[in-house]
Formats: sequence, C-alpha cells, structure tokens
Amino acid sequence: MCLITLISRNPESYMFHTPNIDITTLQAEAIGLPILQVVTRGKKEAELADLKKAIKLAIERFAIQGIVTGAIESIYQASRFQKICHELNMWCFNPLWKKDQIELLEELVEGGYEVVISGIFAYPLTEEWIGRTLTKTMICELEALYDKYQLNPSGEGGEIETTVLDAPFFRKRVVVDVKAVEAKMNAGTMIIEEAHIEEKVGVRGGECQGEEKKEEEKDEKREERRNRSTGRVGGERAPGRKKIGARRKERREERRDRSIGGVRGERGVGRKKMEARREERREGN
Amino acid sequence: MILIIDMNARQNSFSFPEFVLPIANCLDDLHRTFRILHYRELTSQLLEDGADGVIFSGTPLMDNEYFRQVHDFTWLKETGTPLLGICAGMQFLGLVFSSTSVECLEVGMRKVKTVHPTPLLSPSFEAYNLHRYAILPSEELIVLARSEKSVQAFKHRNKPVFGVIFHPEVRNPEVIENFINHYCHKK
Repeated sequence: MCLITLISRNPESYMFHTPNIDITTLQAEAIGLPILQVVTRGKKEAELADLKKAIKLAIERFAIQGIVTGAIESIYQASRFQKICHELNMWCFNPLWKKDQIELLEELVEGGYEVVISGIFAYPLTEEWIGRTLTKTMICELEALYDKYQLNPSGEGGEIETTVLDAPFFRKRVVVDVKAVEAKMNAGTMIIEEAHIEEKVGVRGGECQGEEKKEEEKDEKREERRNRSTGRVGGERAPGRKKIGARRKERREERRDRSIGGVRGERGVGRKKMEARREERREGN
Repeated sequence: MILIIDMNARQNSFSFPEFVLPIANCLDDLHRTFRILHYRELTSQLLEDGADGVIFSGTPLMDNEYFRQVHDFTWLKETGTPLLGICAGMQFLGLVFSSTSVECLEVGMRKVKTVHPTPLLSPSFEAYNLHRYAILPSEELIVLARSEKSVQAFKHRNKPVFGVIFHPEVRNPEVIENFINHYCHKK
C-alpha cells in the first residue's frame, strides 16, 4: 500500500489539488505509509499520462493492485481514473461516489478529522474563511451558501481547498507552525511555510492508550451510520431514516440538474476545474 | 418493497458504496422502502413474498464474477416481478434471457438515442457509462436504446423486465423513477 501525489507545476491543474501539496510528505509520515510523489507540468490530458506513469511506478515499487480516489460527483475526474486503471488492469474504487456532501462533512467532524480551509476560490467566500477548521457550525454555513449560491459544499469543483491535519487513521498529527495568507477578493490561499508532526495526546506508537471504549463507541457510531445509509437494520429501514431522507431529497432535487458549482464571481485555481465540468457536459465525456 | 441486488462478487465489498448505495438513495428520494441483498441471497421465494420490483446493481470494471453465476438464476425467467438490471445487472439479466455478451468498453458520458418508445426513457439523452462488456439481445428482448457503440437499454417482449447498460443512478435518476412508478406497484 502507498500514497500517490501528483505535484502539479500548474496551479490551475484540471485534475490535481495544488495548494500546499508538499504537505503530503508530512501527512504520509503522520499516517505511516510510504508516499510516491511525481511531478507533472499539469498540462491538460498530458497530466493524465503523468498520472499513469505514477501508478505504474507504484505497481513496480509497492505491488499495488488498485487505487482509491475521493471522487464524489466529478465524472470528468472519475472516468479518467477508471480509464487509466482499466488500461493497467487495476481496480478502481470511489467509496465516496454520489455521497450526500453535507452528510460527508458531518461524518468528518464526528469522526475526529481536523480539516482546515486552505484555499477559497468562489464568491461569496472571503479571506476570513482561510485557516478556519471544519466544524458543525461551518457545515451549517456551507449548507446556507449552497442554498443561496449553489456553492458546492465539499468544494469538489475547486471552490474550496482543504488540508487535513489529523484523522482517525493518522498515527501522528500535523501541526502548522508558520503560515501566510494571500488573498484578493474572493480568491486566496493559506500558504504553509513551516509545519511538523507530533504525537497525538494519549497515543503511542499508533495505539491508543486506555481508549478502547472510545474506539468501540466510534465503531458503534460508524455501524449506525452505515445502517442508516443502507436502509438495513435487521433487513429493514432504520427508524428516523425518513427524516434524513427528506433532507437529502430537498438538497438533491435542487442539485440534480446542476453541475457542481455554478457560482458567479471571481475565481482563481478553482476556475479550471469548473471549466473542465462545462467541457465535460459539452463533449459528453 | 423494492429489492436492490448487490451484484459485486463479494458481499460488503469496498465497491458497495459506489455501486449499490446510490441506487438506494434514489429509492429514498422516491420514498420507497427497499431491502438490499447480495445476489447469492436472492431466491424465488423472496420475490413471491412481496417484492414490488427488483433492481440489480452494477459492479467495477474488474468484477465480472456474475457471468459465472447466471446458470443458478434461470428461474428468473419465470417470475412476473418487475426487474431492472443496471450495467452488470443488465448483462446478468440479458444472459439469463439467452443473450450474448461481447467486449465493448465505454467510460464516461455517452449520447443515447431511444429507438423504441418506452415510459422509461426520453427520446434522447446523455448517460454515464462504465462497462467493458455489452449485450447483444436475444429474440426474447427488444432493443429500446443505443449509443454509437452499444445497446444501451432493452426490454423483454412480454414481461416487465428491463436492462440499461448506463448508470441511471449517476445522472439519470428519472429512469429509476419511471421504472418504479410505471411498473412497481405496491402489493
């Protein structure tokens, strides 16, 4: 198993995340997995050849048999990963595919992920958003922005970029020591200048000390969420599911015929991703 | 109640959220109760026990195990319960009804033209394709829609049995809605 990072020299890459991409080195160390970093010039379609090279390299070095992506709605990105995997006879997994984005954000907060906003590229987001940590309050704000401006809550269209500093599967956590903010109007990034990793409180060698009960509770919550989302509790729909379904339906019905984003306003890095979506619709690919 | 059949080779696979849950979410949006089963759990008795309809899911490009299981499900030819196969599910139903499978890779959005009027499909639309095989329908089946490369949808001549090679749960949930509303009447 390994992590793969494409380091794009083009900050407006169609496929790849660019702000603070070097932090993936520390993230890999915090997770405890090897990382393969491949530089790409980030030219459209040519960057896909670089992605394929990177996956080939991972096959040679780590004998991987498949890849996992974080695609939620983007056919542009998901279909390109699928094609490359098919050409290399690899499995392609997209476990977040079509997931309700507000539910996804809620799961991150409840699951103990530490996620900070490291870039904003859409109206009406402003500099004040940069550096904020994802919380339930922020999710409510994002939901309101979706309702009013159709701003994609998870930022998959490049409206928001994030950096993960801690997660349940991190053995250590990433700490930002020095950062700077560059912003103008509705576009800006948090530049991480210095960072380090440190032990988590109450965690040694990746094992929780005396926190088994907490882990069990987390497992139960995860199971409960899974049951809720599959409609399977004892083979039947879970109680309370309808209410969640009704919320989801309201959100979905509004999103159904829209592509991700569609926000008018000044954009920076996210713009190319949005254009990729428009192109996806035009070219039918 | 609608049965959703998970066509992945392994139960509770890593592909379950990608190929099965989005179908469940569509039914959730329609306020229809559903039950998810792995295909190895499907029996004729379950259909007789009150299923209003059955939807067979897709699988990853690498997972074609369902080809080898068709002979265990020939009893599906006898059921009157409405069936809808999606991608791998379509190929599975096509093979149950004596069709032929051919290699045909399509990945991404494809233009689809309806060639036989049906309440399921609009005259032309775009749909998300993710398949490495396609079906050449047998005499028992009618071609409903085509892309440039493949048969995109079929229907049985006499039964409410349908197959779509594209993934309606991704960009065309109205196809699932039409199947449910037109054919899956509550028992």
